[in-house]
Parts: sequence; C-alpha cells; structure tokens
Amino acid sequence: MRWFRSTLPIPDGGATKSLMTIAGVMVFLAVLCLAGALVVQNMIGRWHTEVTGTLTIQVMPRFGDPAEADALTSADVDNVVREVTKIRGIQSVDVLGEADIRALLEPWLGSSKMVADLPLPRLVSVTLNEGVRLDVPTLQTSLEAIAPGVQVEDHRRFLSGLIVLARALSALAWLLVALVAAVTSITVVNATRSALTNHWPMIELLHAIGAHDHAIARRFEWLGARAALTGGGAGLVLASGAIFLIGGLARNVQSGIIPDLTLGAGDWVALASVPVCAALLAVAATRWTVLRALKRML
Amino acid sequence: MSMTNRETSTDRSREPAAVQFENVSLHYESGPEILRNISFELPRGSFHFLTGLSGAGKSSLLSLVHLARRPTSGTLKLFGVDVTRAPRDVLPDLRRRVGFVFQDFRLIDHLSALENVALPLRVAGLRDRDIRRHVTELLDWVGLRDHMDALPATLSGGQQQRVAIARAVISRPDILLADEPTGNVDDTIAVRLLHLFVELNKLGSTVLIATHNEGLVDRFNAPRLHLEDAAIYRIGPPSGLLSERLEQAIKGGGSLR
Ligand SMILES: Nc1ncnc2c1ncn2[C@@H]1O[C@H](COP(=O)(O)OP(=O)(O)OP(=O)(O)O)[C@@H](O)[C@H]1O
Ligand SMILES: [Mg+2]
Repeated sequence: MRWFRSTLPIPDGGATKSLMTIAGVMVFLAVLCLAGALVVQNMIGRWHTEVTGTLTIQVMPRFGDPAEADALTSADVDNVVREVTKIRGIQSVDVLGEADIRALLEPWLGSSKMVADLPLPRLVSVTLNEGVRLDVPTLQTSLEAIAPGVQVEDHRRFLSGLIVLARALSALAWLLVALVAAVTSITVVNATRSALTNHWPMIELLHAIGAHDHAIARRFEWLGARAALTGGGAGLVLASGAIFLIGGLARNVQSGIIPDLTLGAGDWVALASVPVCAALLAVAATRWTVLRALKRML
Repeated sequence: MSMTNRETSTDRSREPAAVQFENVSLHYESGPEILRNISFELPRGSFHFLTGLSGAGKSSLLSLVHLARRPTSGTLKLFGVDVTRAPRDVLPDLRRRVGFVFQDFRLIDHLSALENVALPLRVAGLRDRDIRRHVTELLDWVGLRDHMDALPATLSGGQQQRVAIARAVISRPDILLADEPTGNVDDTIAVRLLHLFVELNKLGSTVLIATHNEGLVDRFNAPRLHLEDAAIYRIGPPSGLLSERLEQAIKGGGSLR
C-alpha cells in the first residue's frame, strides 16, 4: 500500500471530492444496468434450455359417446407415446394426468361441474437428451397419421420472439454500461487535468529535482483509485439496495407474467467488482493523462 | 551538517569532468542565439562564478546543465554522460545529482519550510524518520530553527532564499547550481550563504553560481565564467579551486546563528 500511495506530498484538491461523487453515481448506474443485463441473460438461458430441451404434444379429444370417445382418445395417446418413444435421443415421455391438465386450466376456466365434463385435450410432455434437436414438422406429419388433430408444440415460435426482445434488452444494458464507463473515463481525465493544472508548479519542481514520471503519476493514480473506490463503494451499496427492493416487489406480484428475477452468486460477484473496475479505470485514465502531460517536459 | 568526507583524496584528473560543454548553441523558438558555439568544462570539485549582464543568458545556461532543456546544437556531458543524446528516462537520476537554487526560489506554497526542504529526499525515497532528522539539522544550520513549520508566504525574502538553498543542498548533490542566490540579501548575509556552497564544495561538489553582483565576485578570488554576446570567457585562476581569500571572507562573515 505504501508503495502505491507514494510519498510525494501532492495534495488531493477538490477535484477528487467531485470525482468521488461522480464515481458513486456512475457505479450506481453501471450496477443497475449490469444487474438488468444479467437478469435478462439468466432468463434467456432458462428459456433456451426449455425451448431446446422439451416438446409438448397435444392430442385432441375424440367426440361422441363419452366413454367410447375417451377410450379412443386414450388409444391415440398410447399410439403417440409408442411412436415418439421409438425416436432416438428421447430422455422421457410423460403423459400428463387429467388432474394435472385441469389444474393447468383452472385459472382460465374455473373448476365448476360443467367444466369437469368438458372433453379436454391430452398432453404428452417429451424431454429430449441434451443437444438433441428434432425435426418438428416431420414429427407432426408422422403423428397426424396415427392421431388426427395432433399438435406438436416446440415453444420455439412462442419464445423466439421473446428471446430476440430479451437479447435486445440485454445488449442495450451492456451498451449503457459501456457508456457509463466512457463517461467515467472522460470525467477522470478532466479531473486529473484540472488537478495537474492546480499543482503544476509543484509537479514542475518535482520533475526538476529528479522525480520519475511514474512516481508522480502514481500519486495521482492513488488519489483517483481511492476516489473511485470510496464513491463507487457507496454507489454499489445503494444499487444493491435498489435491486433487493425491486426483487422483493417483483416476488410479491406472484404471477407468471413477471419472469423470475434472480441473480446468482456469480452475478453478485460481478456486481461487486464494478467499483473495483471503476478504480482500475481511474488508475488507467489518470496514468495516461499524467504521463502524457509530463512527456511535454524534457 | 551530516556530510561526510568523500572523494577528497582520489585523483580527479582521470575522471570525466562534472560538466562539459562542446560547441553548444542555444536559441529559443524564434529568438536570437543566446549561446553561440560555446565550449568549456567544470572539473569535478571546482568552484566557479558565472557572470554577465541581465539577459546575457546565465539562467539559460544553467537550465541546460540542470536538464530543463536541451541545447539547440552541440554536446553537453554530465559526468561523461552525453545528456543531449541520452534517452529521456535516464535524466531523472542525473537530475538528482544536480542541486539547483532557482532565481525565483520556487518554494511550494502549501508546504512548510521543512517539507519544502524535504522534497529531494522524498523523491529519492528516504524514510520519513531519516528525512526529518537530516532536514531539521540543515534548517538549524541555516538559521531557520524557529521557522521549520512556517509556510513560505510567512517568511521574509532572505529566509525564503535560505529555504531554497537548503533544498538544493539537502541531498548533497554532485553539482550545485545557484541562480542569483544572493539577490535578496545584503552583502553580509550573501557572504554567509556562500559558506554553505563552500562547505559543499569542500566535500566534493562542483559549484557554479550565477550572479551579476560583480562586487561580491570581486571579493572572492574564485575563477569566473563571463557571458557576453552569446560567447563565454574564462576570467581568473584556471584551477577552479577556492582561494584563501574566499575562505577568509567567509570566516569574516561570521556564523549564521
Ligand atoms: N523560456 C524562454 N523563452 C524565450 N526566451 C527566453 C526564455 N528564457 C529566457 N529567454 C530570453 O533569453 C535571454 C537570456 O535570458 P536569461 O534568463 O538566460 O538571462 P540571465 O542572464 O539569467 O538574466 P538575469 O541576470 O536578468 O537573470 C533573454 O533575452 C530572455 O528574454
Ligand atoms: Mg537569470
């Protein structure tokens, strides 16, 4: 630490104070953007496994005498299951029981007696081995020959639009992080320039008595890093508070409309590293600025 | 002072000169030539005055030795190292071997006398404890014992000058350059201040003092480099060693305390 702090008595003027505030605001923004990007990426990841890993086959109910129709439908389901099981790369084939299906439909149809008598489509859930992709239209055609009106649903059509939207959101969030980083760098460069101007007589003197450029630069790097770390630390704490608050509000809604907004341990590590990145950025920016200014002297 | 005897008995004739000008010329951007094709050398351990009218180029010549700028042409060597062609990153270490008393002092406003004098030692990376000890001793010696913690603005012109001189000699430089170091004080104090330079010179430092105080120069029998019309003339004893008269003058000036 002593090595980094440097013993040259260049005071930290008002420049580092304003730098601290700006670093706080910038880290706050960057953490929120990054959290948004990570949440969306996690969501895409989950959707993606769902899309590529599962199929749902809907077998339409036969009509007619209830008992007879039910038997026919069951036969259709059995045939479909048998056919699907033959395909390579299938991990499991599950027929959803009637109770499960009714539970799925209950929010939309209610649970009255009348609904209980409605003929319901049967659902077959197919889980594929990892990395296996099925040719859905071909499967659809071959199954239609066995069970008329069968529907193979790979969620892809439904989800692909959402995934494009989510990817765009996440790209936007990353763009914002990059912008915040750029603005921070420019601010640091300007703050360093004004600090250099304020202390120029002293810097000239230090140069004249044999201070190495990097020793002078190190002093400013330390001041910049300290401002970025303290300001950025405060920004991180505020942003974390905001994330917890939003997360809590989202969980209270308890609805399928809002997807699970969760951040894993790795995500939190990434968020916590933002002030550190800000400090490294400040070090790089001050170093560049100071060395460039000193190069003008012999 | 905590200076120890060094190099006094070694044979200096075979070592390269401390300062060596070879056909050096200097002019600023669009101005006239300040120095035209001048050549001279300062042997190690020598003591010289540099004289010339105001504007003759004394400060400019010193700024070359002190590596603040490069000559327009010619070669300048310090301790045999060609500084006109040396890469930029070897210059700081050479600068540490050159003490400089600026004509305008260049004390740092927000640092105490003690911290101002400590700067060269901080740059050299000494520990706080050692720095304090050395600086206190020297400030005491130049008569600023009671003003160690004073800011430059609260010191008189002569006191500021002594702080500037103390800063130049604190690291016991191999070359000591002083630009009009006695400009702000009367002749009696000027003579006293020269005591420091003489002490340092006795310990092996090469000393070059720029001044247009001809009266002061005349009182000492030290050799003299005179700048006129961009050329340099050597006046006085060629040895560059201090004469008895200078020693006498200093003894007559009395103690600084
Ligand atoms: N940085 C500079 N840029 C342009 N011209 C300069 C610069 N410094 C000095 N000069 C010019 O060079 C000439 C010599 O100046 P210098 O300061 O070396 O003289 P000096 O002998 O030290 O004078 P003084 O005894 O008054 O201190 C002057 O004409 C001055 O105007
Ligand atoms: Mg001058």
